[in-house]
Amino acid sequence: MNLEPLIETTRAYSCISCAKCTGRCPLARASYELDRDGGYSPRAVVSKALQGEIDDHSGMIWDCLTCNACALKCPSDVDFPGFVRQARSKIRKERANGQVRLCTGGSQLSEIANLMAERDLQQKRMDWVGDLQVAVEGETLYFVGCLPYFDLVFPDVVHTQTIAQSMVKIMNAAGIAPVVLANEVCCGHDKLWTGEEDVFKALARKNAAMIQERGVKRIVTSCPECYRTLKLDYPEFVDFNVEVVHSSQFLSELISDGTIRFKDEPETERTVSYQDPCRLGKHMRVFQEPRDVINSIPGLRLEEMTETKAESACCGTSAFSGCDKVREKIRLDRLSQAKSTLVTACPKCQIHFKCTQHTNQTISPEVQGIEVKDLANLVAEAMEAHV
Amino acid sequence: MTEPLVAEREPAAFVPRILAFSCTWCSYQAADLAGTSRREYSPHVRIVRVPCSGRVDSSFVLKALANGADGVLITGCHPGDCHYVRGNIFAEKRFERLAKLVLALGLEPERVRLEWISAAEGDRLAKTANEFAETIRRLGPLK
Ligand code: SF4
Ligand code: SF4
Ligand code: SF4
Repeated sequence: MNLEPLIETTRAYSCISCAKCTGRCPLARASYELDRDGGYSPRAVVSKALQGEIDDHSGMIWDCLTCNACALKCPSDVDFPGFVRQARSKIRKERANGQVRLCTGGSQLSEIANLMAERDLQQKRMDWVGDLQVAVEGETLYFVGCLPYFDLVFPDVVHTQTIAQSMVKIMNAAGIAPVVLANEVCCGHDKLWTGEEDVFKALARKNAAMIQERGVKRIVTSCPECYRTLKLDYPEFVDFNVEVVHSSQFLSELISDGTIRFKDEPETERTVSYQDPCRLGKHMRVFQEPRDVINSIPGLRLEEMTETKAESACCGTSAFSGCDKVREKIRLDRLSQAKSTLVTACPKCQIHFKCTQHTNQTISPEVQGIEVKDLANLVAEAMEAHV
Repeated sequence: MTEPLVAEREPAAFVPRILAFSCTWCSYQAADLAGTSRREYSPHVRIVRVPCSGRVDSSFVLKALANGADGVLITGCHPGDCHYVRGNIFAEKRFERLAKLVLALGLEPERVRLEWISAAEGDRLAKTANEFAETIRRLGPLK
């Protein structure tokens, strides 16, 4: 396997084997704590690659969460998640399916994305809209993401469509009836990061065409993965160039310019924690806006967890892949650092946290009782009713 | 992605591609019985034997549809007769969720079907297969 281009574009050649990456990696830390011989090591993967070998047998290429914590620490600026992504594509193109291990829910979502890419579907995914104002054409588009499907695949665990309802409710209050695509397809994030580049491109082309047809100037997403994918990856892989913002940035803007206001009297006073989603924080460096939004809500006080921002561990799973006791430990550690409410800004973080709360038999009642809630829901609830 | 089962199809003569997941204890035996008793049934139904209808994850069905099947049939033991006691009950619960996914995706709900067929019901298996093949033929290819 020719690794030259891969090593070149991710600057792996400049690795000095310092192992700062492994020291920072949430997966390496959690696996070491569970089993001293576990030994997940991004450094070892890079070293092997520099000797001309992609080691997909140990599974390390497939284990990585691609969370970017390591890359932010690396003194040589090695893009390890980028390395993993390209290595996975190469393995799947050249030899085999690789060792991607999706959970049952994740496999369904993966097949749904395949159907969306392969078939000409006329979806019925707009039930959540109800009385809210949405449009067919216009300048601002709300990219819903897979929320309607999350709720059908994990009905016992989440109701993520309430996030979409909150967002559109807030947009309506700000005088915006956003464009919502009746036939939006999965952004393709999980396909791209699990090495199915062709499926990713097919999905990206479909969304790009639909979005560009509607005169859209700005896209708002609820999911940090959609955000990263539309903003960074679409322009790289398909013909696409539209401004993209994440809901936290959009909400922070509406709050600071006074477009949306909150009820004066908070019904409750509470201290909350905030989970930095890996795509939003460590990939896109959006750390401040979600915090600003939380702090502007009357009655809420943000208390940082022990590890935050670039130092924080992600929710422990990306692309629904590789879920096991190590990832579960990452989530339980996060939850046990949190106050009574853990605010998220990612529907997928919410799924993984709640799934663990729902299924883990050994979880303590305190950890189980932590409410995991999206930023948009908090804002919508605290908002002044507009006349 | 895997190759479609049949590479090319003429629009005039639509040959439905149907996948059936049949449990090894009841309905797969029923298919054998249909064979030994020389009952003819649609050749477009291809059977995959599974240990239990409870083994059929919704992703298997979606995968079949994504990879070229026009319809998917799941068959298991009658409630109360499951070799693993409750596997078919799980299958039924899962199927209710699958049916909602199929609707949301904009596919005709008739493209997926769950049926209970015991080892003694060779006739019923043949009849179900024929009916289902006819339904799918009427719906036409999945676009
Ligand atoms: S932190 Fe960077 S330089 Fe150090 S071992 Fe990891 S990849 Fe190499
Ligand atoms: S991307 Fe995240 S999970 Fe992967 S090696 Fe780096 S820190 Fe570890
Ligand atoms: S925690 Fe996430 S990856 Fe693990 S089983 Fe639940 S939904 Fe799947």
